[in-house]
Amino acid sequence: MKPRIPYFINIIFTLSLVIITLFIFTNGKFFYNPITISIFIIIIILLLILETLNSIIYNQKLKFLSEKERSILIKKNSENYFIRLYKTGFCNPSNEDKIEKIDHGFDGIIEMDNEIPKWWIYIFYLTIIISINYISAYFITDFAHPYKEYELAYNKQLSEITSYEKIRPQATIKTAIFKKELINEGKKLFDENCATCHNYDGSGNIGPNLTDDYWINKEKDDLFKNIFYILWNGSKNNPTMRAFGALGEIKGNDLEKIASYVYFINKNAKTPQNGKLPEGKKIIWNK
Amino acid sequence: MQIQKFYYDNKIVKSFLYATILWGIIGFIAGLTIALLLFNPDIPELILGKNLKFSNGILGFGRLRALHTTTAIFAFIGNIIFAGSYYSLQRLLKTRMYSDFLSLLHFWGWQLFIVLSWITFLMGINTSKEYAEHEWPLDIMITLVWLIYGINMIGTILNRRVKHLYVSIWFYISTWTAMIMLHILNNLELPISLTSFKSYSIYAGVQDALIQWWYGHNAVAFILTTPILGLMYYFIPKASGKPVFSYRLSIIHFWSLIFIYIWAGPHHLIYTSLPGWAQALGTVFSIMLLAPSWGGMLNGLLTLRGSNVKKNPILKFFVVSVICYGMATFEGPLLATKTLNSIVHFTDWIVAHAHLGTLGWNGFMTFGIIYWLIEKLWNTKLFSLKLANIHFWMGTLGIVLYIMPMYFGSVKQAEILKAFKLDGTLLHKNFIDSVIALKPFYIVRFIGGSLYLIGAFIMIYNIYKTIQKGYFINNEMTEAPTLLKSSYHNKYFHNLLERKPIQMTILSLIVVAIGGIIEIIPTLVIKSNIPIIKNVKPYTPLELEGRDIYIKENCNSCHSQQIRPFRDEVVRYGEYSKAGEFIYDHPFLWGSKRTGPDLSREGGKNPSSWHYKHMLNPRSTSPNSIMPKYPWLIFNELDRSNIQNKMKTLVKLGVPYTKEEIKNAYKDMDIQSNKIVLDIYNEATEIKKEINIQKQQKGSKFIPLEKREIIALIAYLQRLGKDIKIEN
Repeated sequence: MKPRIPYFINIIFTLSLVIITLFIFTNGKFFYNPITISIFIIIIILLLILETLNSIIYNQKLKFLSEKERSILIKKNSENYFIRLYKTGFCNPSNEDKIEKIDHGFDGIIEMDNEIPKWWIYIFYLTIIISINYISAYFITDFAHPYKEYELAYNKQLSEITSYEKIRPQATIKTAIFKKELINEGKKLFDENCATCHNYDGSGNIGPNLTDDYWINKEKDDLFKNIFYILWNGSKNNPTMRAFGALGEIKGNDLEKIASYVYFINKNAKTPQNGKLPEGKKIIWNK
Repeated sequence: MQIQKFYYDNKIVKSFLYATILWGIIGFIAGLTIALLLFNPDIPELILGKNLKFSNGILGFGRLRALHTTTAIFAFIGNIIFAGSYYSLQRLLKTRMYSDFLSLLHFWGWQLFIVLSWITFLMGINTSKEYAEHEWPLDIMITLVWLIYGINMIGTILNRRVKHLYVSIWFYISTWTAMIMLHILNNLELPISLTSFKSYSIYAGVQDALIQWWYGHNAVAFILTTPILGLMYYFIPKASGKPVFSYRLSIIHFWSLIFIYIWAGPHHLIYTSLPGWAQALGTVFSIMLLAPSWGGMLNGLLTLRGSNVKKNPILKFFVVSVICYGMATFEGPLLATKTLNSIVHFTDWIVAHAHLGTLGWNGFMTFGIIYWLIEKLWNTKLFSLKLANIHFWMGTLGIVLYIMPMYFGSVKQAEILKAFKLDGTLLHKNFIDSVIALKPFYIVRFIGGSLYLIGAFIMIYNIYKTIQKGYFINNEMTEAPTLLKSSYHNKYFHNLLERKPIQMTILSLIVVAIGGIIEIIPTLVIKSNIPIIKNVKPYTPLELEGRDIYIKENCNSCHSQQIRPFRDEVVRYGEYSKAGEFIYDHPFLWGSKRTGPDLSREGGKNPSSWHYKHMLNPRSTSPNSIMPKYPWLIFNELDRSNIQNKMKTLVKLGVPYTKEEIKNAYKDMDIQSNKIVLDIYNEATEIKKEINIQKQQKGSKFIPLEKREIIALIAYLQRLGKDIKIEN
């Protein structure tokens, strides 16, 4: 007969397996549900009952053993479980005389036939049980389905954005106007989104110079609105100048900031710096 | 019983030992070079100056990276495996190696393969598949040399004077069988002609990815783990003089390790376009791998119980090595869970994890073995224990300084890239923000690597002095009875198996093959695993040439082509990648690390002239970029001569090019390249001017822009992700 594993270890082990299973199968939902918690309590009570029955049976069995075996078992059982567990892995060198030593003639290397540490076996079993849970949850539920997870995350974010925009509506082509106080923030956003093509000072690189009076696209009569319009809808003449607003890549309020900055540098550019040569037509704007 | 006299072959061990040290140093230097390039991208220009454009990319990051991994894995670790196994096999089996000729052939064949890898990689001849970048002639060579090793090893086993096989030998056998299977299946490729190095993988897209990582993961298993465990089981008991902790544990952890390891490959592809069931299998088998791996660690550490580690630097190396093994194999299952994987995949955490294994587990085991073997083979004591101790501490500090900053950097990068503003746009739109944040970590990592290298130099000095002290015996005389039978019998079934090497070899092959068969065959055969997307068309001839340049420069070592289904990636790069998009990708180019941004939806994002300027000097379009310059692509003429061969080869692999298309390949290329050049000239007049100046200066030697490599590459980049964009 083997020494007993204390009841609290059995309960913790079983309970954690139940929790892991539940977690995997429900994707973490229903966890703080009163029903779940009462199930846990029932499981604990059942385990305690089982444990009591077990100990009665165990004690009955003990009676059939010889005196010597019984006293060894009783002694072992009274010892701290964790110390016992530790000993299986890092057992006393003084005990080693009793362990069988195998010599197959391997260049002087001797192998001992020590027991496999219990905790190692427990880890192995635990990982196997987790894996069985995991893989069955994959085939039975939506657990670990990347595209399903994506859908959830997408819907969650959409609803967050909607509720955010209720408080802070985004600027549209109708509401956007030039605001001086937005210029600084606009500069930051311009550097991040536009500078690779239009250069950091807007003097143009691959994209046209934004500080001169020549424009390729004219959709509105007023310069600020025209800038906002192109930012929102993109340029018909160049696919790289895409519809940043309509595609949702940059939101209305940020576009208003960028447009304010571009409007500002265009109006305040004293002499167009050694920027790119003019492209498009010279346009005199209403505003 | 008759006692026989025979000789151990020490000379071959010495050769492999020297090769280990030499290639180790070269591998470390190559690694340090690319670590340096990551925060000083202009070093090639510093060295070559204006000649960089004539260099044909010989100092390109992608090529050096492949060289670093090949040298570290196959040359440094490979040679120590051979040195250690040749030494231990002879002694464990009480016989000389089966054939001196095969030993020599094995040695020189292997070194030649590494030298040829250096030559071909520097020339840009590679397949882009990680740790299997070697092109087809080299693959054949590796197979032959590996067969020689196998024949020599099994021959030795059959000639043995000891009835039982020790656990080290089980590991050597499984290493040999698994590697030959992995190597051959992953490198099945069709050359475009027998006179060309160029070949295409016979698998495409998702299937290629699965096979590649089945191989890639198990190269880690069967080059960097099982043979090293074999060495551990011999050298730790020998060096410490202690008995192996548990024979039972050896048996269980050996079989469970080789069985489970092979399944875990798909954990490199979690959240990619790989079918979900394969990803789930990858995760669970990685989790189950924890205990078998730790079995090895336990047996190693517990064998060292009670030995005087403090006084013996060799044992110190072994202890840290085994502890690193334990840490890396604990980290592995964690990284394979979907939660941690979603954060750290494609970041430097993976690099840190790999180096914990290689620098710690493999490197330190190697150093320990080298010191021990030097003492034994030269029949003397180490010149200086103090220097060995210094080496140990420098190496340990080097590992810590290497790994820690990479962990922090990885988390930092994920933090930056995943952050959203309240309005649902990204807080950091430009990938470059995360690159800038990583620079300090790269510098500390470089310091860590330098310490490790200096430690290795100290070892060389110490060894040199030790060798001078001692004397070497090429053929060591020994005696043994004809056949040593053990008094220990048949307590376990396994005892029987240990006496039957051929059966054991076959059994280990079967055990190793199961996981692969179950994962790979359904992915290859079942159509529903890769849903077809109608809009996806084969690459045009020019794009195909561009793709081959992308492969040649190993762009995939820094840029992924796989958008995972996460909000931040979809907002940053575009619609997540679908399995059906890759059906014409021979080989797949998903990459495993994002040092730069993902490119799978690059088409149309930036104008062609932007790409031109960016390749010429990345910092002109993205300040602070750490991408190297690629002026040779702009300078070189595109070699178009093979395009029809390439297309014909791809037709054999299932890409539906029509006869018409193959016939008109050159015309198509002209049309497409003219269009791109026109776009570039329209967008950037200064490029037009520059090219016109070249035309006047060079006269008849002038190569029109349309005919240069850069245009093909731009054609490919502008194509990426376009098929799906049309659909939307």
